[in-house]
Formats: sequence, C-alpha cells, structure tokens
Amino acid sequence: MEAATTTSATAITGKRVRPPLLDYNVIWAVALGIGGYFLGHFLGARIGHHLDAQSMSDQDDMAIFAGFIVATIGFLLGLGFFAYPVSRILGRPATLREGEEHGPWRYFRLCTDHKVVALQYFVGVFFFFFVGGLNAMFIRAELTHSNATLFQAGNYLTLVSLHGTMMLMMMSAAVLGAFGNWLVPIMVGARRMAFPRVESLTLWLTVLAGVVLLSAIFLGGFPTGWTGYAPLSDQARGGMDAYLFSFALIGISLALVGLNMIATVMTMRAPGLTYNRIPVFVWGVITTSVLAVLAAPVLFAALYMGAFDRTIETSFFLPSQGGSPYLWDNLFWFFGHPEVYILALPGFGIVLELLPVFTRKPLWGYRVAVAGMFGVALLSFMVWQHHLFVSGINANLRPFYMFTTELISIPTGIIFLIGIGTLWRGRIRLTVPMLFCLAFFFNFLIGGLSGVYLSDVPSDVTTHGSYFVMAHFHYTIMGGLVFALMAAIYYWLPKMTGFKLNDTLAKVHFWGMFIFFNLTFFPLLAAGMLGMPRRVSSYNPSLHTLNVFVSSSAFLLGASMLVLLINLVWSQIVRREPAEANPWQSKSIEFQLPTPVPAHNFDRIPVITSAPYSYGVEDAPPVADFGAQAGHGGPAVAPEGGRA
Amino acid sequence: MSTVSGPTVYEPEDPALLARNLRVGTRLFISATAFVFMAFVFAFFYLKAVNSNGLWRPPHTNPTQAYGIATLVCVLATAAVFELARRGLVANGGGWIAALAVSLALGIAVVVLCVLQILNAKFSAYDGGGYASVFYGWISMFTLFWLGAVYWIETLLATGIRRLPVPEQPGTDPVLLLRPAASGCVVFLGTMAVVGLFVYVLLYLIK
Repeated sequence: MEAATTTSATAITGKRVRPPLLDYNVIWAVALGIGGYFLGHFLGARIGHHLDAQSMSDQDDMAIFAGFIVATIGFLLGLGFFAYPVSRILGRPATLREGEEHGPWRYFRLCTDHKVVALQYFVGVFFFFFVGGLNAMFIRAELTHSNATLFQAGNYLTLVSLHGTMMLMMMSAAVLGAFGNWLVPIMVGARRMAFPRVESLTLWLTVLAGVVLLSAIFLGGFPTGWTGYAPLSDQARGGMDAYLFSFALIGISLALVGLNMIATVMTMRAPGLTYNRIPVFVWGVITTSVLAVLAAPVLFAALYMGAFDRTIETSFFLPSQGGSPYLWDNLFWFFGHPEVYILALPGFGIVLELLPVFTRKPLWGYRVAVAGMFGVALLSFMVWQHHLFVSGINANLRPFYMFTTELISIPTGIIFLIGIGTLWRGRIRLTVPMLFCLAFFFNFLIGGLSGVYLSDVPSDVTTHGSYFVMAHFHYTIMGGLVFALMAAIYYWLPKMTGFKLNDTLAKVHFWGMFIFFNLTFFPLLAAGMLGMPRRVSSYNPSLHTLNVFVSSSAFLLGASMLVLLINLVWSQIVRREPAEANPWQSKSIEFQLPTPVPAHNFDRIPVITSAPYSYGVEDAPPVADFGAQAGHGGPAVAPEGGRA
Repeated sequence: MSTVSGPTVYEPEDPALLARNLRVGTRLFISATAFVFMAFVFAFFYLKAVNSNGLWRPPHTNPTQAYGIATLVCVLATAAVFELARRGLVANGGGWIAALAVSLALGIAVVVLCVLQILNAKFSAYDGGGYASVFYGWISMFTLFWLGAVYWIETLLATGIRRLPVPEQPGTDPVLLLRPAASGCVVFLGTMAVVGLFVYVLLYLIK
C-alpha cells in the first residue's frame, strides 16, 4: 500500500488514545446506566405525581419509563455514543472511525470495526439466547406436573412471556448482527459498513434491550406473552413497561441494522460485483433488511402508543375510553408476521450459501432463489390478519387472508426445492455445518407442512392457542433458523475468531440437538391436537405421560446446547488452535482472505471476476482478483456500486 | 476473544462514496419514518371508524387552530428556507449560512410550538377519547423526529461556519462535503413537511 494514500487510524480520528479504564467503556456504561435509572425514576415519579393529580395515572409507570429513558442515555454516554454528535454540534467535521485502536478494550465500547461489532453481537446475543433457553427449561420443569407446582400461575406466565420475547428479540439480531455485520462488508468487497457508528449503536441497543427485558422480573413480570396483547397489557404490572421499552429498543435497532445493510450492499460493492454475482447469503440479509426497515417502525409506533396508554392515560387500546385492542392486534401483527420471515430469511440464505460448498456443485436456480426470497418478503406484509382469525376479524375477510397465507408457501417451497436441487447428485460432504443444513430441511418441512393447517381457517380455529401452534413455530424458528444459525457458527466462527472449533464436540452437539429437538416438539403437535392450551401451567392429567416425555427430551435438548457452550469456551478460550484460512475449500471471498482477517479486510479493494458458486466447473475463473487495483490510489469502488 | 489484528492503515474515503451512502441511507430512513407515521394515520382512521362507545371524539376535544396553523407554517417555511440554503451551497453562492440560520430558528420554533400545543391543549389525554390519544401520540412523535431534523440543520450550520479540515479527506474543502448532507436533509425535511401537512389536515380540519 502506498504511503501517500494511507493514513493511520489515530491520525484519522485525530485523538490520543487514553488509558482504557478512563476512556469510554462498558464499565462506565453500566455505572451511568444504573445511576441514570434511579435519576430518571426519581424525576419520573415527580412528573407522574403531577399527572396523578390530574388524571389518576399510575405514577409508577411514568417513573419506570423515565428511569429506562435516562438509563439508556447514561448507558450510551458511558460507551461514548454522545461524543461524536456533540462534536458535530460544535462544528467539527464528520469522521467514520472510532474506538478501533483500543486493543482488547475495543470489544467493550463503541467500536466501528464491523468485525469487532459482529463478535460483540455474537457474545451478547448468545448470552441472552442461553437465558431464554434457561427459561424454557423452567417451563418444561413446571410442565412435568399437570397442576402448577413449581411456580405460581402468574410467575409461570412471566416465564413464558420472557422466554418468547427474549428469543424473538435475540434471534432477530443473531444472524443479522453477528454474521451479517461480519460477512456482508467482506462479501461485497468493502472495508466497513456504510454507517459504522450506527452499526455499533444497534449492538448496544440490543444488549440494553436484553437487560431491560430481564428487569421485568423485578417489576412484577408481564402476563401477555411476546405478543403484548391489549387490554391485558394496560392492566399488567410494571414488568409490562420493561417489555414495551425493550421491544422498542429492538425495533429501533432492527430498523437501523436493516438500513445499514441495504446501504452497504447498494453503495459499497466492489467493482465487478453485479447483482447476479451477489452471494445468496447477502440476498437473504437484504430481503430481511427490507422487512426490518418497513415493519419494525410500525412496531415502534405501536409500543409508543402502549407506553402512552400506561403513562399519560391515553386510550389507544382501551375500548371503554374510545380506543380499541384490535388496533394493537393490527399494528403488532403488521410487524409480527414479517418478523417471522425476518427470522427465517437469513436462515434460507445461510443454508443456500453452504450447500454448494458441501455438495461441490453450483447453487441450483440462483436467480429463482433470490426471486423466492423477495416473494416471501413481499407476501409477508399481506398475511398478518391470519393471526386474528379467531379474534374479531370480519368473517368476510378470512378467505382472503387464508389465500395469501397459503400463497406464501409457494416462494417458500421454491426456496426449499432450490436446496433439494442443489443436493441432487452432489458430492455431499457430511461435515457438521452440512449436517445442520440437512437437519434444517427435515425440520423446516415439518414446520412448513404444519403451517399449512394453520393458514386454513377451519383447522386454525380448532387448533388456535394450542400446543399445535407452539410446536409449529418452534419447528420453523428453532428447527429452521436456529439450525441454520448453528450451521453458520460451525462454518464461519473459526474464520471470524481465528480459532478452530472442536469437531467431536460439534458432532455430539448436532446429534443431541437434532434428536432431542424432534423428540421434544413432534409430540407437542399431538398434544395440541389433543387440546393442550399454550401459556397455562395446568393441563388435563391424561396428557401427563406425554408431557413428562417431552420435558425429558427438552432437558436433553438443553444439555446439547451446553455442549455447544463447552465447545465455544474450550476451543475459543481454553485450548486455542489456529484455524486454517480455507478449511472448507470454499470459493467465497471471505475464505480467500488470511485468518485472522486483517483489520482493513483487503490490501486493495478486489475486483470480482465471477459468480461465487462455480464448484465443479472446469476452468472456472477465481471469484476475485485481489491484486488488481480498481481505481487509483485507494477509494476503489465502482462508480455506481458494482458495475466495473 | 482476540481476533482480528493487523496494520491499521486506511485509504482516504471517497467523497462520492460517502455521498452515495448518505443518499441511500437518508431515503431508507425516510421509508422507516413514513411507516412510523403511517401507524398513526392508521390509528386515526381505525379508531374514528370503530368509535368505541361513541368516544372517538367527545365534544370538548377541539385543538387550538392557531397552534396548528402556526406549526404548519413554520414546518413548511423551515423546509423552504433550507432548500434555498442548499441551493446556495451547491451553487457556491453567498447567503447560504444566513439561510441555514433562519431555517434553524424556524425549526426550533416548530419544537416550541409543538410543546406549547401539548401543554395548552384544552383537553387531556385521558378524557379526550381516541382522538386525544392520537393527538398526543402523533404530536409528540412528530416533535421527536423534528428534533432530529433540527439537530441535522444545526450540525450543517456549525460545520459551515467553522470550516475545520476533515481528517479523512485531507485537502478537501469541508464545505464541499456538506452538499450531500444538505441534499439528504432537505429530503428529510420535505418528508416531515408532508407529515406536518397530514397532522394539520387530520387533527385540525377533519371533524
């Protein structure tokens, strides 16, 4: 790299690096966040007291919300998020990089390196993922008895609500945050995301959202499940405030992640990376991002209304005062159903990305797969009222939403067939990532087929609110997305961290997870058909044996996740072995880089020379020319993002 | 988890790339913003149509027209004056900093008017039915987003006045780098002006 065209990061940021403990970091963030909560709570109580004199509003809710708001400000202040906006107010020029020069401390503060943010996401999201999993274990422990035994009914509902909300929130961030942030810039041949500070902000908002949600336990819990239905939400105790606030943080984070991903792909593609050469994983991220940008703001608005109902006594969702709970249902599910595909589409992207590598043949029907993803994304906005089949939807509208819901199975089926077509006559290598991909197909098929029954009005009316629905979405989300996520972990994590994962433990994890996942959730389809309701800790004693079996399987499923945790700790912290640069013989651009990937990704911006899936094709050109100098001096980006 | 390491040297950022990022990012942000306010439009029409217990809009829930008109005028004027400033900036003409300052003052006036609207409303959030809910929710949400616009205008003004060198763009006139930001800001202000128009028509004109 020519000296004339390069600048050190310190020179760019123009700042001296302070001692880490005195600089912005997560310790300050936690301290200021806690202090901020109490300050906000105090101020909110004063305001609430003033309102109380006028309107009989619940001053605790105002205090809790004010506490959360000031805590958020304090938390972000401690991490360094206000330094840049304040400098801009003072007229200092715009910069892009921050916190990249802080050694290991960059993992504990605002850092604009996309690879650091991705690993921060990985650790943060998986911490909350395990917390959500622990809740599931408690739920299944309770269900080993046909009557409430371990927890009171209200506490059980809080457990169920925490589990559902935590998993939905964190799984939204798992693929986009951890893998999207790490892979997308590299896969498009860029050195960073379009908006690096926004990227870091989304991470810390996600972490904060997880903490705020957990605080619901100390505020009396919340009884609504992840759907937060009104008017129950208006009547619930302070834990509901934690639900509303944390989900709003996730909504903001999700919309900003989506915005950042789309902007990065649209504007920062390397020369030669035309739209029909973009890796299918990136397409999965783009379609997810479109949903996130358009659906999450509606969730945010709905939560804002819910917060107003609970603090200043508006009546958006209270029919006795001129509102309507169906307003919540509509707004929530306008987000909620696309949210299902926000979870599923990255899973499709991961599996389709990995299949060619482990079948050694090109991805079958690349363009159709991309079209299928966009088809799913588009249709996902047209189906939300099927969640209201039994709760107030005009009966004349039911056939339309039944039809659109069934219609969405076509692009989903196409994507499924693309995967099967890629497997057909491939030279399949049964590596651990591939095993997870194959399990994805098995699980998702069951999830998809059970979904057809739920799209159909008569059968949905029968099974609504039962364990059949619960088993269905666990087959699609856990059997689909989480299995794909596991494939991604075993495939990409060694590249991301620079250290191998233990293969034996990985296989134990796979077989344990696959077997006990199915032994847990398949019987629950039957439990639902037999009338066992969701979210209730008591059930008909005739289902006791079935539930004991399911709980036993669930505990073993939980144990299999512990194997993953042990593997991560053992191979990434205790006994590290350097990972090879390209252990899977992948043609994808990230595997052409050294391990660990340099801070600046590429010495020169590469020129993309062919599609990434030419496995088994004789005389296929390399995917990229890393020695080429596209553009002069450095800012090597195609004039209109990709056309070289 | 120690991972990436290596020489932290960077090539200067391409101003054209930064401009493209800003252009695309602004439009995406506007899309998200539009969906936030569409939720309020939906709430308005939904609650009006449902009219639960005849409490959509009790008789005493009438906002003060003067506030509504003044807010709308200031919103539109902020956007219009900012556009004049942007044109001056692009044409390297004079007076754009003064225009930005006027735009900022108008923007702050909008914030003040929105706060006054809420504080001086003749009906409260809890006895005004569905209409009052939408009114309080929408005006406060509008104020939040508008504060973002005011912040953006202020940073452009401060940067234009100080003209400090840009470390990532050595040798580049900092004012040139303001152009894409101004273009993005004017689109955002235009969107907020449309939202402001909706606010006025739905909350002040429709009975």
